[in-house]
Amino acid sequence: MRSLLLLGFACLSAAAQDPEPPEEPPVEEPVKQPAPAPEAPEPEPLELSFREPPDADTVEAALRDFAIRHPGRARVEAFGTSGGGRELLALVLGDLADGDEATRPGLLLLAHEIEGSGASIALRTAQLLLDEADGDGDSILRDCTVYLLPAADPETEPGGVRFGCNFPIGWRPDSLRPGSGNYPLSEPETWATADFLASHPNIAVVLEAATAGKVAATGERASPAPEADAALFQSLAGRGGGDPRLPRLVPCTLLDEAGGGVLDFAYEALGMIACRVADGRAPRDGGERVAQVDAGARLVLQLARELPQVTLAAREVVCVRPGLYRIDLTCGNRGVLPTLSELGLRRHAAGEIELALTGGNVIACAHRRGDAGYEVAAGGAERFPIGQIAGGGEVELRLVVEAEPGSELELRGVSTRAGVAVLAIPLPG
Amino acid sequence: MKRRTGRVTRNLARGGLLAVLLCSTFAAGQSQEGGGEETQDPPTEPPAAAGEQVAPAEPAAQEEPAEAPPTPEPARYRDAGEVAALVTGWLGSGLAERIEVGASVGGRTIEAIQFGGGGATPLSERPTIFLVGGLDGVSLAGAEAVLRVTGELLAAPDKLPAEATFVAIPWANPDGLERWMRSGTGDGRNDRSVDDDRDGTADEDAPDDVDGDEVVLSLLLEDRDGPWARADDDRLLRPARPGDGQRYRLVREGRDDDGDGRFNEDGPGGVVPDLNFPVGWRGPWTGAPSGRWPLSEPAARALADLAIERRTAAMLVFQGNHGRIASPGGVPLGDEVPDLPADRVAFEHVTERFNAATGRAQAGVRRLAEARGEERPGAAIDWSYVALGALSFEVAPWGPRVEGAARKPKATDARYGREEAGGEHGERQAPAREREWASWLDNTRGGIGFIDWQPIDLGGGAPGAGLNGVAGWIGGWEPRTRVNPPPELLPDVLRGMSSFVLELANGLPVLDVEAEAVRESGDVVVLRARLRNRGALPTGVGPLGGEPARGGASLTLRVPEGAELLVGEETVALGHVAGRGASTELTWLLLAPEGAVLALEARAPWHAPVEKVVRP
Repeated sequence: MRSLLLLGFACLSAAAQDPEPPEEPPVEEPVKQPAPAPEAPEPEPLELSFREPPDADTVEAALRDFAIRHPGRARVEAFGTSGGGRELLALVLGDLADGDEATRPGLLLLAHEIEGSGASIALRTAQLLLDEADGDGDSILRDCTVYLLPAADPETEPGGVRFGCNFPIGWRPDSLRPGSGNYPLSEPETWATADFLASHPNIAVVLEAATAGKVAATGERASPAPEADAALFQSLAGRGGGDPRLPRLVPCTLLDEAGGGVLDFAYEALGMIACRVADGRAPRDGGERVAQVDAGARLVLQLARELPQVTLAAREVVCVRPGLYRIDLTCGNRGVLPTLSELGLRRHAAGEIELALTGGNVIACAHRRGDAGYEVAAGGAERFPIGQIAGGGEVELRLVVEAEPGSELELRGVSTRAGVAVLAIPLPG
Repeated sequence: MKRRTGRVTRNLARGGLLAVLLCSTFAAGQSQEGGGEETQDPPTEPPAAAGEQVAPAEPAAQEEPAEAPPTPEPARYRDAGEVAALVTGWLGSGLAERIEVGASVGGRTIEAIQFGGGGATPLSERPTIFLVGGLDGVSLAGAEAVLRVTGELLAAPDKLPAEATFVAIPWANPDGLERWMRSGTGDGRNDRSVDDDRDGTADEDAPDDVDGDEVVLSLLLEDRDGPWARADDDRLLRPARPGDGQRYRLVREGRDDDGDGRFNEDGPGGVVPDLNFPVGWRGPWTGAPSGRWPLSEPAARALADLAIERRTAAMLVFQGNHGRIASPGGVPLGDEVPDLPADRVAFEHVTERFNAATGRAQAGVRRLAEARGEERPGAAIDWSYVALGALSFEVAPWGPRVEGAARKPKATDARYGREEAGGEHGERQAPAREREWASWLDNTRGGIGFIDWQPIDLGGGAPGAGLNGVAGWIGGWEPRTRVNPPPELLPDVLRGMSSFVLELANGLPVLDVEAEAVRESGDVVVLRARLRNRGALPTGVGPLGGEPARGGASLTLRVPEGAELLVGEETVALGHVAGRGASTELTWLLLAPEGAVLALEARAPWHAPVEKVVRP
C-alpha cells in the first residue's frame, strides 16, 4: 500500500468502487500499444488524507493514480510547464471512451494556493466522482466533463508575481499594483491556465478554490453584470454559506478584489459562469479540515449536476402540402444553469445554441415570442442561432421545411457549453 | 482609372495657378505608381540636403569595405524583401547586430537590429531607445522613418552616444504592412484568422476592387440608420444628425461576398498588434481587432519581452498620420494611464526637440488620443510608459500639415481653416480633421488624390440602386495620400527625424555623485552625498508603484565592516530626479573606524550604476 499521509477518507478498492467497470477504449488502438495483461493485479488506490494541505508531489501522484485506476473516466493532461520546470497537470474526468468529452458541458475547478484547501477539494472531488460507490458520480460523468487543476501555480514565491493578479481583465502593471507582473499572462502558469480555458469552450462553469480571506461581498462591481447574470449570481451566492466553518460559493461579481484574477477573466473574456469556492474559517484541527474539504467538494458536485443540457422535443409535424412541412418543437435546457451567461451572449462568446437540420431544406425558422406569435429569425441557411436558454427554460420554435415525403429529418441542437441534443423527425408520407 | 478630372477643375477655382502647376507635377508621379498601394517604387530620389540631419561619413577606403559606414538609403517605400536586404547590409558593415525577435502570425521574420556608440558597456546592458516602425500595420512611412533614422545614425557612428543602445524594428507588423503595401486593405491586421462576423467562416468577405480599376477605395452606402451625412463639401462626410434626409455607411470598396447583406465585414487578418498591449486594452467583444487577450500576438509579445529584458529608456513608435509627436494617453488619463505632472516636463522637452529637429510647429504636448482624434486603447506606448517607465511616443511622420508646413496662406487658397461657428453652413461642415486634409489636398496638391464618388452597381442592375435596393458610390482618398504620403514627399516628410532621435539619446540622464565625509569626533562620521543629473531628461518617468526600488533612482551606502550606521537608511529611494543639473542631497551619520572606506552607489533606470568612494 502506498501511503502518503494519514487516512482521512476511506477509499474503497477499485473493484468495489466500480460495480460496472468502464469499458476499455475502442480496439482500434495503435498496434504499438500492448493490451493490458489480463493477469495484471488491480492497482491499489493511493491513500489520501485531507487533514493538511498536500504538497505538489502528492497532488501529482494522486492525479496519476486516479488516471491509472480509471482509464475510461480519468485522464491526466499536462497543460503547461511552471516557471520552475514542473508540469502543470489537469485531471480530466468524464466519459472518455468515445472521445466526445469536449462536446459535453464542462466544469473546471482550479486551485493555486498551496496552503489553502483548494488542492484538497479538487482531489476530494475526484474521489467522490470516481471512488465513492454511493454517489452519483457515474451519472455526472456521463453527462458532463469535469476538469480539475489542483496545482495551477505549484511554486508560489513570496514577493513574486501573484497568480491572482496576472490575468487580463482589470489588470494593472506592477508599477501601479505590485505583484501583477509586467503584463497580463506574463507567467507560464497564468498563460497556460488562460490557454486551457480558452481552448475548452465547453466549460460552462469555472470554480476557483481559494482562501476566504480574499473575499469581501460588496454586491457591486466596477462594471455591473447584466441583469440576468446578476440574478443568477445572487442565487448562487447563498450556496454553502450556512456554517461559517464550511466553504461557500462567492460569484465573481460579488468579489471585491482589485482585478487581474482568473474568475474575472473567465467571466468577462470568455463568458463562463465563474465563482469562488471560498474556504471556511481556519480549521482548528485536521478533522475539521477534512470536513471542510468534503463540503467544498460536494459544493462542486452540486454545480456539476446543474450544468446546462440542451434538449429537443417535437410537438407537431404538419404537412402543409406535399414536400413542405411545418414542424413545431421546443428547445430546452434541463440544467439549472443557463446555457450561456448573458454577458457571454452579448460578447459573442462560444455557447449560443444553434440548430442544424439534415434531410431537408429549412425555408424559415421562427421563434415564438410569448403571445406575440412567431418571429421569423432566419431561413435559407445551414445553422440557426437561437441564443441562450435559462436553466429549466425552453423556447418554442417553428420550422418550415422542404423535404421528401416519408423521409426522416435529423435536427441537432448544439451548444458548445450545453451539449448536443439530437431529434429524429419522421415525416408523413 | 477612376475619374478625378472633375475635382481638378473644381480646385482650379479654389487653388488658382499654384494648383495647376502642382497638378501636372504630381500627376506624373501618380502615373508611375500604378494606382494602388503598389510595391513598385518610383525612381528613387537622393536624400534632400538638410542642415539638421546627421551628415554622412566620408566613404571608407575600398580596401576595407567591411568597416565602411553605410551611405544613408534614400527614402522610399520598401517591401519586406528590401527591408531584409537593407538590414543584412547594415549587419555586414559590422556596425549593427541582429536581434532575434521571432516571427509574425503569418510566419514573416520580424527584422530587428541593435547598434550604439563605442562605449565599454555591452549593447544589451545600456539604456535602450527603441525605434519601432509601422506597428499599426499601415504606416509604411513609419517603417521608412525607422529605416531612414537607422541609416543616418549608422552613417555617422562617431556621433552616437557611447552609453546608449538603439534597437530598430522597422517592420514591426510585417503581416499588416505587407497586406497594406500590396492591396491597401486589412487595416493593419496580422494574419491571424478571425471570424469577425461570427458566421462560422473566417475571412470570407474582404474588400474588393469592384470597378476593376486596380484600386480599392471606399464604398458609400445609403442607409437610413447610417452614421454619416454629406458635408457642404460633397466629397466629405460629417456625422449625421436627426433630420438628415440621407444617411450613409462608409466601408471599404467591395462586394457582399458572403451574401449576408453586409459589405467587407470579415476580411483577411485578425489583430492589430498596436491594439494588443495590456494598458487600456479593450477586448475583441468591443469590435476592436485587439486580440483574444493582451499580448496574444507574437509581434506584440516579442516587442514587450525585448523591452522588458532591456533598460528601456525610450519607446518611439513611428506610425500614424497626424503629423505630431504624441505622448501616452490612448485612453483617458486616470486609472489606466496616470496623469503625472512631474512627467509633463519631460514630455514638453521632447516635444520641443521634435519641433526643432523637424521644423514642425506642434503647440505643446499632445496625448495619443488627442493627436489621433480618437481613442487608441491597448497602444504599445501606453504600456511601455506605465509598465516600464519608458519615455514613450508615437511619432507620426505624415499628416495634413506636414507638407508645406512653412507655406503661407494665399488669397486664392480654398478656405478650410476657418471655423464656421453656428448657422446652417457651420452645421454642415465636415469635422476639423477632414477639413485639414481637404485643405492639404486642394491648396498643396491641386486637388489630386481624391476620387469623386461615383455610383456603382452593387448587383441590382443599375448604378446607384443596387443589391436589395441599396444605393452605393465608390470613391474617396487615393492610396498614398492620407495614410501614407506620396512617395516623392518622403524625403521631406522624414527630414529631421534622425536628428531628433540623436538629440533624445544625447539628453538621457548623466549622473554624478558628489560626496564628502567629515569625521566629527573620534569615529563619528557625517557623510553628505549629492546625486546630480546633468542630462536634459529626468532619471525616469512613469508611476513608481509605491515601491522605492521600482523605477526610481536610488543611492546606496555600503557600510564597511567594522562600521555602523547611526542615522539614515542604507538605500534611499529618490524617485525620478529631474534633469538639467537638478540634484538631491542626503546625509548619513555613522560610526566608522580609522581607515574605513565608504562606498556609494547611485542607480537609475536609464543609467549604468555610478560608484563613488569616500574616505573620511
